[in-house]
Amino acid sequence: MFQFLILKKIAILCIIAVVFFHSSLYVYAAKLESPNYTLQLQDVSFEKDTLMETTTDIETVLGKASRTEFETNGFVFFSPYSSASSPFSFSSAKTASVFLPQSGQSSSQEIPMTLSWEPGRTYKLSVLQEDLVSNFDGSYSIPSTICDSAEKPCTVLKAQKWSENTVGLGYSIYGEAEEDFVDRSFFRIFPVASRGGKRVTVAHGSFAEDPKKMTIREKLIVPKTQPETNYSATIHIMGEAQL
Amino acid sequence: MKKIIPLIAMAILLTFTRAVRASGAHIEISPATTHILLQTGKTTSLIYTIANRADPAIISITATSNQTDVIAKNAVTSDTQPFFLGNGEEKKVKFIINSETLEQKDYLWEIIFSAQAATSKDQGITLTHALDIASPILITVTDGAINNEWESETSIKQVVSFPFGERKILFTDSLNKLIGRIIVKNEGKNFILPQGIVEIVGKNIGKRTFQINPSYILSYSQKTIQAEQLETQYCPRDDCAEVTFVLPGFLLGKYSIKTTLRHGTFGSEKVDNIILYAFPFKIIAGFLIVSASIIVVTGTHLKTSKKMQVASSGEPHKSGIA
Repeated sequence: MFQFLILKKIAILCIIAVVFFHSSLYVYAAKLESPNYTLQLQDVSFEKDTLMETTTDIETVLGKASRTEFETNGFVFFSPYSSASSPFSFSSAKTASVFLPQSGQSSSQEIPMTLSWEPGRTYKLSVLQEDLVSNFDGSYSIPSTICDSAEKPCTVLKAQKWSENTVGLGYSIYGEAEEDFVDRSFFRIFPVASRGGKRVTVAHGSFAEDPKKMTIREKLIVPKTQPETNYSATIHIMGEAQL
Repeated sequence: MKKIIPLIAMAILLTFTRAVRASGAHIEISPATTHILLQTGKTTSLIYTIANRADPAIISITATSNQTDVIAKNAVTSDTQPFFLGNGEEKKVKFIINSETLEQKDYLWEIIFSAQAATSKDQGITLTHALDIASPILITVTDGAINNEWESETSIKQVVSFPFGERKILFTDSLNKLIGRIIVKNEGKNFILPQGIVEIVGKNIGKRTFQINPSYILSYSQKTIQAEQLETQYCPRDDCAEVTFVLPGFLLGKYSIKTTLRHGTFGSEKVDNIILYAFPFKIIAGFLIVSASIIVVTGTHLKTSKKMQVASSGEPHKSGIA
């Protein structure tokens, strides 16, 4: 009876220990957090080289052939990549989104896109809206949304959740996207060039063997007071090859 | 018969037009990136090929630069006006690069080809999408010298460090992945092209090497460089932007991590050496806690049982007194 009691308690302890250590060992690498603990580990920097101020020449950096060509012609085109002439390709399944919304009702359009280039090279995807979504003479326009909260509105650089019936235009991106597009319910607003807006990056990364696929989802809720007429705007979606 | 032929032709044309419309927009440019080293006062040309693989579109071209100086801004020009490019068509576009007004340093231009298909705007709300594709041009204006001011910094994630003389000793848990990051900072007037190798030596892995292929770091900027063999599935949260190399698997014992970087093909080398020890701290800690718990529980039970034995041996005596 006594031995049975001890074995029973040891078994319970072992089960508790297994559960305890399984959970504490399960640490998310990025945040170094487990459901129970946060590990205060550090990234240690080492052997930081001192800044070197030197001047070298074309031959040292690019090789003798480049130097000879530079001296002969006055210029040289150089590429450190094996397939320098590989084309950079960008496609979109749609050239326009047409919305036929009811006032106050949400409607959305999706634009699947593909970028392709050689593996290892990097890209950036950015967007810019030329002008406000307006009628032919610009007398009426549809505003950008603020997403769900006026206190924490979505901006051109920060996506926020948009699930309520807040009016306006916004967009989300998935497939490849910047971190603030947490999920498909997170939206940003387009920067508007005519209002001083600049292009903003919505995705970036490097190519592997397969092309990069992403989808932009445009969402529109027209205010109930919006005059009934046709509206339009041009949105630039730019795929940019990186050096 | 004369009336039928145009009708057939129109039907074929409409069928073809619908097929083209279904394909959306698709453009390709070559070269995708360009680096040109140019002597002061020289002029050269650069020819782009743009191809349209989808709907016919109007292509417009702009050259933008990071320069605010108006004279410098006019160093890259093209006299090509917006043009129509049909499905399957290609066109060559020439740019003139002139360094006469430029001082000796690096300049970054971007050539943007914008493709816009015809869209109807006569119903509802129409958002027309212009598909832009951008190609950077790095122009190094030089008499042959390249100005280099750069530093590199190697860091290892998820480690604990202890000072040991002038150096530090690193410890990590065996269950952690070995995640390394090399940041290269360029403080010079010209580009740098770091390339090299990371070698990790340990008893249970032998020698693992990660090749660092050349990649541009523009003047006055910094970048995390990536190894060719970086396995993206091991990056934290699948984000490899701040990761150079990852060594997955169970780590045990001493590891030496040697990073060798040089600028360009024949530049001088910079070498970083890091020593790291990996032990199964978590497993040992778990084992110790379980063992200690067993000892404590066993000890408590032994004491309790002794008391019970003493108490039980005393009971008949008590009853005897009673």
